[in-house]
Amino acid sequence: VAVLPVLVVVALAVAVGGVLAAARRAGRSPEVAVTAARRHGLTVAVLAPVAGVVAVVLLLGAGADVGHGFPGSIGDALVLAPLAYALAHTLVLLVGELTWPRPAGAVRRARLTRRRLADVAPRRLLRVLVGATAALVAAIGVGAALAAPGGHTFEHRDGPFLKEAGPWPGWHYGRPVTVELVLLVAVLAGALWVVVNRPAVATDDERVEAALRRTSAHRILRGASAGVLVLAGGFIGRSGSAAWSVNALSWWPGLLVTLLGDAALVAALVVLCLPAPRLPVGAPPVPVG
Amino acid sequence: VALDITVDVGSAIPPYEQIRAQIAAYVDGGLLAPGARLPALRALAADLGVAVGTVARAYAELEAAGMVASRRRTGTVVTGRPAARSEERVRAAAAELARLAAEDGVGAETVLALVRAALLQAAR
Repeated sequence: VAVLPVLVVVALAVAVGGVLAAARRAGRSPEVAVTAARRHGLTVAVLAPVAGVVAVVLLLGAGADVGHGFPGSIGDALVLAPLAYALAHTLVLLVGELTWPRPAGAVRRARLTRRRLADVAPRRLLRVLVGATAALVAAIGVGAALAAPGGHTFEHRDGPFLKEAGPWPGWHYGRPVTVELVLLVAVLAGALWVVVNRPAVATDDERVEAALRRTSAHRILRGASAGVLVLAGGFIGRSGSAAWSVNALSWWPGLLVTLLGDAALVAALVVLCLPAPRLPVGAPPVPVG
Repeated sequence: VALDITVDVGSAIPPYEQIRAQIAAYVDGGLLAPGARLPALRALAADLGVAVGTVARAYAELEAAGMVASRRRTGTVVTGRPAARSEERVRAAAAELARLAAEDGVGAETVLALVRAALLQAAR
């Protein structure tokens, strides 16, 4: 707990340093509006993961500091951490989209085309998010249905013995996670709506405008998908190993479910490393990340 | 063809009227075919940096003129408008003018300036 303020200060220092370095890297575009939009997007993209990490650090600090307002243990805080990261990340990106540079000058121009979410959101990430959310909801449902009374362990009668294993993703963990998930879906939907409807960047190259918008949607979906994947993977993996440890599952289904959970964790890392879409050739470069 | 809407917020013509007139011209000229979907109110207002009510008024006037229809699921859709008989000769002349300008390499802004000057002269 004592290191918490230090960690927060370090995170903020990293954020400021990252923003300054990124702003320098962003360089200049012949089009002022494009340069301003790129810098704004990059600044928010640096701040979002920092906000996510700060949220996790604060949550874990509260979880470790028993009796100071947080109603659970460090284990409960750990379960809440992935979606807390995703929520903070998405909220910062939502604010960034709401404060996107607006058209300036007396004469403004707009393209008379209808934008849809399907044109803006990368399908691959959207599928990952939907799949991960479905897996998490299934894990919460199955976990709650099979949990022992108390909602955080799993019981299995093995011959004359009643064996118990935990932690198990029962309703004890499922309830706060469901609240987090509902909040995340609401904030995510709002952020994507804002991306579709926010002001266009005034540029002669419409491809730049479209790429900037796709980049925004990519960053939003990337952070949220990673958070949901980590939690779904944790729940599934933990269910497999707990059921296996009390012989409710034989070795190969137990191993399979555990590995499935681990695969989701690896997938979360892969998703976090997916670079944002690049600008078309011939257009000013857009920052990756 | 990519169609643009330009609004001059310093102009004496209200922004809603500028938006209405340009969309009406696109519909009249056949550049916006029946069934074409207009941008969402908020998206167009954000792109132009004007209030949502400004675009809403332009759309409402277009709807009152029978050029567009607002539908709950599809948004604002062009319904088209039969060309007024009195406009047919002018439309044909405008098409001919556009063809001649393209042949002789005269820019769009120059053509519009020439048309404005001709309109002023005819009004005297």
